[in-house]
Amino acid sequence: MNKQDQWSFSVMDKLAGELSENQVDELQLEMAEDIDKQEEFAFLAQTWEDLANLDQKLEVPHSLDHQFYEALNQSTNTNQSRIARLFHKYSSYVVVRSAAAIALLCLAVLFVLQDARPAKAQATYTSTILSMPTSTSKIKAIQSLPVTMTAEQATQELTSIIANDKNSNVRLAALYSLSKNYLPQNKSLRKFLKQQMQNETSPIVQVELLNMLIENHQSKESIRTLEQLLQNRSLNPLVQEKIQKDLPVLRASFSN
Amino acid sequence: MNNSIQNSMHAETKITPLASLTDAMLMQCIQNGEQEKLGLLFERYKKKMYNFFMRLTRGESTLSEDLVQNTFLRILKYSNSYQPNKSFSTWLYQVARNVFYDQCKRKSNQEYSVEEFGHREPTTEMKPMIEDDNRLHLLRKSLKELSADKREIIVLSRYEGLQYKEIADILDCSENAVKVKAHRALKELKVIYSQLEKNQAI
Repeated sequence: MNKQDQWSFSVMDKLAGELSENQVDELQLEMAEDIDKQEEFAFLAQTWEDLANLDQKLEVPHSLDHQFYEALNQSTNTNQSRIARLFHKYSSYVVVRSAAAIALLCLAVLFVLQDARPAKAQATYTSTILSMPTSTSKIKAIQSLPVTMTAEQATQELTSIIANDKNSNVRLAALYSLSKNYLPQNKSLRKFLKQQMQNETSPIVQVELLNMLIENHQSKESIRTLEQLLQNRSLNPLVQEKIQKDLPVLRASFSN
Repeated sequence: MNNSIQNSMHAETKITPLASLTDAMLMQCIQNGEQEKLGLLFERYKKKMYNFFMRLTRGESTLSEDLVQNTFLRILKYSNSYQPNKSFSTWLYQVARNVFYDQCKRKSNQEYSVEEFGHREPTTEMKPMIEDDNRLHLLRKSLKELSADKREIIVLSRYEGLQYKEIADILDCSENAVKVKAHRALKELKVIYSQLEKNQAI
């Protein structure tokens, strides 16, 4: 940036009132040292002021309104008639293309619906089973889970039934189905089984949970869970006996 | 029917006032085919545009009317090039400038120089009713003598109430370049003014 440009910026900023106090001081100092700049600025400032006084705000002549709206109407009509002409010219083409597009759209919707239907059914499967009137119908429904269900979905449905159904036979059926068909070795299922061991009230279901935990989900944490359960005085003697029998086996497997 | 029902019905049938629609909203309506909305933009900006062209053409009222009309019709034609995230006012000035310079070129092709706009007798509208101040009279004359591009920068910076940043957007240059151009225009105005003053003294 050369000196002349810097002078231009300062002058124009000053005229527009965009200079800070410090910048104004600098500008005045610069002008004090140069009489030509002082004179130039005085003239420009006066001119700047006079230009504002010179301005006249003119009213718009009515003829402008008339001309404009006439031109606008003409343009709108032309565009509309152009669209009409285009439609007339390509109407058969438009109809064929529209029909094809609609047919494709319908196919896409059907495909999406077909794909979405089982997912929707699966989402409500647990609630459907839980709302069934008899335990027999619930057990039948558990034994015939849709084949379209993934192992993950089935596990989710069955654990939900185990945790929520009031009938121990239903819970047992869900547990059998889970151990027989779906046994993903994941932490969340192990965590669920341990949690359920503490929540479960039926000794038979507790023993089955214990079996699942020892057979398929062995971990050091399982040992701690079983030890904690043994502390529970209200624990069923049958379950207590089972734990006492299985615990040394489990400890031995980890000590090796 | 009681008052509360009447009031609620009135509230339901209340239509959004067109005045509340921003320029960008109106432009989107136009882009969607509602061409009649251009009338609202015309009403908002016609005075500003008319005065802008009157200053640029040095008082050619008929020509200014045509330029205003052409500007708005060009907006209609190229409405799709407007981007709603940008200032409508800036875009309008850009279109208006293009319309003005196209007009200048056309005149130039007809062996009618751009600079000739100012040498024609201005309409009575632009003549001061009482010219009691000689300085203002000379300044008015100087402004008319100024070249089109320099006059434009003075019009934009002094009369249109635009900031340097906005002018930079309109002219598609940097803010600093605007300041330099404006400074040069004012200095040229000074030279013309001094010359006229000298001639007057003689």
